[in-house]
Amino acid sequence: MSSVRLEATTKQFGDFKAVQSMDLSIENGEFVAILGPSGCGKSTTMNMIAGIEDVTSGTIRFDGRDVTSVPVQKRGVGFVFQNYAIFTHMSVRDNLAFGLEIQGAPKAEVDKRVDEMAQFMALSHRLDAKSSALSVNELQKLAIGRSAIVEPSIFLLDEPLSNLDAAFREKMRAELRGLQRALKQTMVYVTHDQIEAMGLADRIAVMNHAVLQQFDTPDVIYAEPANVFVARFIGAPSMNILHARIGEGGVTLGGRDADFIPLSDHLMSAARDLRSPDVLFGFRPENLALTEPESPGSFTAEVVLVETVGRRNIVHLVSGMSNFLAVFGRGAAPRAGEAIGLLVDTDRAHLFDPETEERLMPMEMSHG
Amino acid sequence: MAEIKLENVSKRYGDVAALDSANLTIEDGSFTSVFGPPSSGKSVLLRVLLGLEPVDGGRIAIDGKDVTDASPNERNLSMVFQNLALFPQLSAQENIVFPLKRRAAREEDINARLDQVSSVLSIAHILHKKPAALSGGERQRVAIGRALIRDASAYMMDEPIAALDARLRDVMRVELKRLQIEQGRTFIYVTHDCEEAMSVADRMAILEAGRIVQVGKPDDVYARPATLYVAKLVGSPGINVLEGEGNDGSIASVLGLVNGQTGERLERGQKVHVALRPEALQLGDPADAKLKGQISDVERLGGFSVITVNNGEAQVRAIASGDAPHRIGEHVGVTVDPAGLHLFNIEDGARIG
Repeated sequence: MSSVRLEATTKQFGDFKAVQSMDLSIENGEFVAILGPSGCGKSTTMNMIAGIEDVTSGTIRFDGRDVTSVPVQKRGVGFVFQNYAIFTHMSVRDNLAFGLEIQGAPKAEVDKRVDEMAQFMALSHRLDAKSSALSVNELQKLAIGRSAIVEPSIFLLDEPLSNLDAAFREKMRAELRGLQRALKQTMVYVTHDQIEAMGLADRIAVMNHAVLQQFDTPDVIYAEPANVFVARFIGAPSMNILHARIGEGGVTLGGRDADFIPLSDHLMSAARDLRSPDVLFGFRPENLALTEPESPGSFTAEVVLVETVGRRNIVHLVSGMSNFLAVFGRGAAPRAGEAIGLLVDTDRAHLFDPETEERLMPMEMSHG
Repeated sequence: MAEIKLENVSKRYGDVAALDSANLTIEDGSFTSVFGPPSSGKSVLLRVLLGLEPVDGGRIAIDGKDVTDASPNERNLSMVFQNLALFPQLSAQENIVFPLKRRAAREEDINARLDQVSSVLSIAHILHKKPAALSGGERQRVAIGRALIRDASAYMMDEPIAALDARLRDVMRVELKRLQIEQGRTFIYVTHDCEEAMSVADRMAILEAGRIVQVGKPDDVYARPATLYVAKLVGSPGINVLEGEGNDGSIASVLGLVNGQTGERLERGQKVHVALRPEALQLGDPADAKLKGQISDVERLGGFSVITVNNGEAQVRAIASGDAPHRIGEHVGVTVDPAGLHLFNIEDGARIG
């Protein structure tokens, strides 16, 4: 186990900045996900932590020790890649034992730890099978088990689940959480899938265009996104972010008085320093409630289309010039063409600066 | 425009029945999704419909006319393939009008159709570009445009958006649905993605090993799955399945008694699969429920959480709110909303009640 610290770490490929002055502090035993769209610099960041990629400038520390120029094999990191590097000519048992044998662990201990890991990964019944005979799902479990068994000081995983089918991904997320609870290894997990990052990590580092956007717990990232990018990237369907205009005690959508949405004083306080009344109003599709049209505090929208997807209905709406989504439970299924009333849970809504796209912070509530 | 009917259609490859007496009626102007896991027969179904493969038994009719032995051209069906198959040396426009040029249509008809298709798909501004210069979503629209420009009886799509990233898939599936509603054409859409199959279609057909096991509105399939197989395939997170048996009106399971009069359809001691939708499970005080266990996993996903309740022998997953205060190790009771409880025969998995 080690802590990991990136200090102003930058990676440049020619003119292209892959990672720009990244500061990131990962605690001992912490599970951190690096999340972002393809090309955002997340894999490059991980490769620099591993030592596979040199840094252009900045420092990387393990437990405070500068490892910036320490080669990959001396950093004590374990890897799992998207395309599991398994020795297919060897049995499952030999693959699991490989890392421990290289370390020169005694035979009895190797056997014991191989059995434990096989049990943990539900591979006990496959120990003597050739790796080439395993299914895709089993191969990925073996790849994770093989890296985890040597208990590296830092465990790095690059999109380890992205080749697996949806149901198995759900299962593997639960197993990875269990693995981390049991081994308490420092884990850095790279993914483009926000559900994986939310479901697995103690903290998420969200990246876009080579720049760290926010680093915090899943709950905070979901509830208090730092900017429009993070707000839209986390959560599915994405947060609605609409052009609005600040008025007395609320906002109007698209400048129409008919679409006035009253907001709490707390949220309104976020707009105190704006120079113009234009603002971006953000609210999640699941934070809208269906009500009668024209009822107090509500605004009216027309239903464009309804997607019924099992336990929830995704309702596509238009109000004035704004298109947005609502998610309702199975009970509530308005019909296309219908006008409905909507209540926004304004305690969970946000205002963003239309120029910087940063979230505008409400004033701290005074106590008493 | 046409109604398409498959009656007892079978297709074998050696010993494997790729389609096994498949029956399906696709109504004129409907959007039907064909859904199943890999190798369940989805793509074979499209291929025999298109006439790319002969059938080994059964009958295919379009608008009442038997086309079982008709050539692909005689069937007048239009197709969007998963790998798009755009010509790289042709511009988007040349790709789109290709099917009409090949049929030697009149220039002004071609232009009128092109205008209509490119406005529906919002691609007028990219028509001059070659495929290599287009984004994934734009290429997909061009491929759909090429299929739509023909005046076909029905439009077939085989995993048309599977190669796009998650956000773009969500956008494209809604565009396709809107397009179909606006144009009222008959769409048949093959996918292995359950949410997509439910989202786009007004009817879904579910395949199991070459057989069509249920056809219905997506919402009805979700609310009343015909078999345990369908119940497990449809819905995310997946449905919980426990072994249970009738117990004087309630159901005894390995996690305890399921609450309410949920077992009144069962004889005492009759063994069943008890399937419970995660959103139908409410967690509370263990003293208030007979179904109980200990929380072994909490997955907080923002808008909701998935909580696993375990008693050492079995486990169920429940959906709770995003800020639910549950902790690993906590003892909880589980109450069940009967609307999310389904019973299936232990032998053949058929729905009970």
